[in-house]
Amino acid sequence: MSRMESEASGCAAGLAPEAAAAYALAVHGIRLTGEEAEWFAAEMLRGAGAVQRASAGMALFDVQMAAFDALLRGEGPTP
Amino acid sequence: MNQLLDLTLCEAATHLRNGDVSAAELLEAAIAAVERHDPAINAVIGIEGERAMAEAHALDAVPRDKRGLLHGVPLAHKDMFYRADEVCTFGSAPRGDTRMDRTSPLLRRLDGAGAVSFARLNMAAFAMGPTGHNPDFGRCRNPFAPERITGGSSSGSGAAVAARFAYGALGSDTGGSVRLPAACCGVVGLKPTQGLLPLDNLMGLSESLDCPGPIARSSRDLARLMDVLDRPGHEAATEQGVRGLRIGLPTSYYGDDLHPEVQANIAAAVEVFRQIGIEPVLVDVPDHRPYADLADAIWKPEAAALHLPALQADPAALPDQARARLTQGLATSAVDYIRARRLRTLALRQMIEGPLAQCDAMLVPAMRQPVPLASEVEATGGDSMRRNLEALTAFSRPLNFLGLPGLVTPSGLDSNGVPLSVQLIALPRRESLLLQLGCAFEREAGFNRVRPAMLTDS
Repeated sequence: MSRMESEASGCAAGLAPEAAAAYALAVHGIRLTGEEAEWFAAEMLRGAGAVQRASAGMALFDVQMAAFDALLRGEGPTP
Repeated sequence: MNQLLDLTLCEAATHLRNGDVSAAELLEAAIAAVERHDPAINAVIGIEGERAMAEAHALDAVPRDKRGLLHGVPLAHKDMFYRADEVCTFGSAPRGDTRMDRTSPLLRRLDGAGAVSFARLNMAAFAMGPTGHNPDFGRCRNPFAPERITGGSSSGSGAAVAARFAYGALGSDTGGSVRLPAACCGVVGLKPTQGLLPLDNLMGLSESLDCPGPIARSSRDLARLMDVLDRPGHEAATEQGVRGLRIGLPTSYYGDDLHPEVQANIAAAVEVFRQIGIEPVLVDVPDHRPYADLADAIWKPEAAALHLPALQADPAALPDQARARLTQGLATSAVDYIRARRLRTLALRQMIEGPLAQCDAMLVPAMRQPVPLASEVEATGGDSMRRNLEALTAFSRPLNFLGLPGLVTPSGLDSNGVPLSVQLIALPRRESLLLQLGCAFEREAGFNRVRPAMLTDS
């Protein structure tokens, strides 16, 4: 993913693979290869951008995660 | 092939109940079929013959008036359902010595109804992969066309049922893993409503999206299995008429970018439904395009959390695709995970109040394209893996995000003689309606009775 693509995805700036690799190692204890780090950095931005775009303009403040299970049980629409 | 194995599950159960054939005889026939045909298919990881035969002999001693709904019926399952004292590999060979200390409640329910679960079936390692590739146990091959994919991750479940090794099988569906193998292998698969069947004592990926479900050769067979796995009433529903029901045809997404053969097939399926008195109506669906990424933002971090110890201990020991997808889970922030979960609630409400309020069930293709060659979709990581996954699962993953039930049933053969299938989608907990519609469609169309040529020729 290019810097332009990452900015278009909704993220403010690109993420250096080295920074992504450092994050994976420091936070999760996972050591990435150079190729994995590039892909990991791109996925972090792509995934975050996708959620950000889907959330744009949505009123999520009053939505409860548990309301999903209530809908599946047929208990009617719940905010 | 032993002709008894070509019966449907319900037909076989009737013969067993009446004593026309014994449970031990039918189990012997099923094991013989595996020994004869599985070298070409690779659907089976292991046979638990000694325990299964002991069960069959015990069942044969049960008086006819005390026999259960699945008395003596040979079944086999994706190798991720625990059974105490038996191995469960999760599709990963290094687990080949790992014996479980508990039994899945779903297996217990099948046992209680008299089923004989005799084999553990091939699957994508750790249930991550929609194609049927497995680096440890080898690729599972499509009984209709061995060079083509079986679908996955419940690859062996689809292939074993199509190859007449078993009358039914359990799989699990986190992004289409019951429905894709059923669609690719020309059999019938049900993804129940999220949360309907218990997730205890089976390999987990994502507690929010995982959904165990059955595969068989007819919707009536699935209904019988659901009577045991869930509660009675599903099979009775398949006897009810369907005239006057409405199927919804989405005006967007599910008709976008269809392969011409898939397009012609779904049009033919609509005509079949029309012939049996079901009215097609056009329905507008909410924009489904973000759902794959939103589903990823939920299941991947959940899977990474579950399997983090393995990822930290020795990532090189994990198969490439499993390692790549688990690593992706570490890239999702908790904030995005929660936002995706909340968006899921809004999306489900839009579906319930929108298209699913305007029809009894929606009808869509099971896949956007015909079943691909295995060589076309093999990828272990990176962008090529993501593109392959998106193409194969475009019509299956939305239901996991939405939690809705879906039934896949065969609707024809493509120009290569490989199955094409349709998918029916309904409101939460309307599995009985899906099975009722599937049963009516299969009675009229009959594609679920088509056998792979490799069985017909032998």
